[in-house]
Amino acid sequence: MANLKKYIPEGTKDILFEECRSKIKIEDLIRDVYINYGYNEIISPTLEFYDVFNMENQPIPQEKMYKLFDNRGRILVLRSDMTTPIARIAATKIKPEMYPLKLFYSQNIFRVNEVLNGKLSEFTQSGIEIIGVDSIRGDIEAIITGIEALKRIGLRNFKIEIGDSQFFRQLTDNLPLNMEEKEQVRLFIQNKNIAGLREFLDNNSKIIDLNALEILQRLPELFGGKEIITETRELLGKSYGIKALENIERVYEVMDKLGYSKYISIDLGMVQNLNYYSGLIFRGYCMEAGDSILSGGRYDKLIENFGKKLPATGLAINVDIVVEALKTQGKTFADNKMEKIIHCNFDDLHKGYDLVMKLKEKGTKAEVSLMKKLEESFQYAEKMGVKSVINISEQMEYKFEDNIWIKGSKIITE
Amino acid sequence: MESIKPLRIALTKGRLEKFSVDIFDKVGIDTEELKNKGRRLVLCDKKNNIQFVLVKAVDVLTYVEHGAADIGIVGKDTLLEEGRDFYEVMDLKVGKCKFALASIPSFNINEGYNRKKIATKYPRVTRDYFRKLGMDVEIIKIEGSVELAPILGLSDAIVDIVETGTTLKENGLIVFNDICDISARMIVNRASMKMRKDEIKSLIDNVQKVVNEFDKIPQKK
Repeated sequence: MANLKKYIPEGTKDILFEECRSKIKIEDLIRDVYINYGYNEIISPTLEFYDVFNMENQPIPQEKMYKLFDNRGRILVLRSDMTTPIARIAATKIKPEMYPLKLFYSQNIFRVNEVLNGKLSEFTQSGIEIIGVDSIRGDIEAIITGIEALKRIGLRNFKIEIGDSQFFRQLTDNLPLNMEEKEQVRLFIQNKNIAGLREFLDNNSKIIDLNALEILQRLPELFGGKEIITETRELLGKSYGIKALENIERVYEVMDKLGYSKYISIDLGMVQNLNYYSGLIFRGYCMEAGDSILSGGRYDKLIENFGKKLPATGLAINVDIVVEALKTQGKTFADNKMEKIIHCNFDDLHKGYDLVMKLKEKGTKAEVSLMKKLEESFQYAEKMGVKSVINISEQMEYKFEDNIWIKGSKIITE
Repeated sequence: MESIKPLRIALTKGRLEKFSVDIFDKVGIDTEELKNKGRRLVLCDKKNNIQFVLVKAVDVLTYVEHGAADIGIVGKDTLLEEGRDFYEVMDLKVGKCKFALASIPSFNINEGYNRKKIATKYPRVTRDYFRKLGMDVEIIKIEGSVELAPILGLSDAIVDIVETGTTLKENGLIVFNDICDISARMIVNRASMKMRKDEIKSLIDNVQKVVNEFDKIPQKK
């Protein structure tokens, strides 16, 4: 066995300096937006029992979960999504006098990926969940909060796409197709595989209602702006999916009045994870990211698994993807730059730290040099781009000018 | 939204390359650089703001999945074997061939109680095929000249791509079952499809027209 002492597992990363700073700053800004919109932060354990995630129609298949055993041989998993633990918490730990319950989190998620596919196995999601509201008011609130958060971190060229999981379900509910065939149709639509879909529908055209056939065939192409609503309405006539379309339209109208329609697009062919989502679904894209930057939707049936019937909706921002996209867009976050470096002999160390604290009170950032010699402190300062060094024993401030350190003014440090 | 970023198309090197170039040629894209590529890896059509890259089939999927390329042209064989996340928008109806189960004439799939050994370059396609039949087989992954495996007795049969059947015939193998048809497909990155809808949609429409025309003329092998 090769010694792995110096390596990290595939799909993980060490996040350093600039990238780490951006990531933390971005998380903070998002957190700020969530708090301002009235959400409460929660932290759940990294380890959960496998049973929490083991349910019918689980969104994350079990082979994607990292599993281990506790000291009694019970199966634990590294949490593979955040919504499920929140559903557990909402059903078992919180008994509010009144709903809605508005929660948020910024935590790491773990998923086993295929080897060498370049995806992260540990990644950060900052998300919100609105529990106890069954009307689209909840969904609208979630989308607006999501857009505000993305705007706040300075992301440009992004769109939140909305669809409705009910749309496909209502269309196919009454079709004489078995589960397997419906799943096949769903996959064709999800992958916008128009050729495959057409072939399948042609083969089954005798048993499928003409109107439904036409809509199904068009479904992969029903994405875009507001025009999609009108187009689909004509297509639907008086048949299926009208309620779902109405929901989308109402959401769109609110966004439009807010001036947010430029951030919204519609995809009626968005049909992934149908058994988990029960209403509106959202997905965020950005010009500079190949993967989705945000995802979410309504999940009215999930919390039931934990013993309480509660409707809910929510979304999560994929922080790592947003960090990358912002970097590509040229957005940087200001460095927490030192202004002064304090050099002192060992005996004067306390004076050095005392000065750091005094300077900090005045709003000046300073740090004590860990070097023994003044020369070394100069070198350190140069390397860190700091142009001022205070030598405690001389009570002297040195300035870096024209590439040399020159004595500046005397200062009283006592 | 006007974007300055070129639309990037990943093409599969080799067999599908010529077909792809022909199609894009007909669409009115400047393929001059593509035809005289020399050793360059990125080929441009500046007028239409399109960039082509030529890579191996599996890499087409990787580039498109990660959004490093917006669009890809790749064989259905690779899609079936790899199964990744993107839109598969069009059957280009070129590069047609099929997956087939083949072996030496004495092979009988239902004979004997031993688990059959199947050699293939496509383990996933093979596994899916035999699962559908409800059969438990042992799969041996071979990287090339799969036809050798049953001849040398390494496996009972093979699952491989069959284009004309010449290679099989010359090596004394016969097809026992056709598994599925294969042709070149156009795939699109999910985010690109949404963020650059107009550009991509019009490209898809134009390619579709060419494909429909090509499809009317019988294909030359």
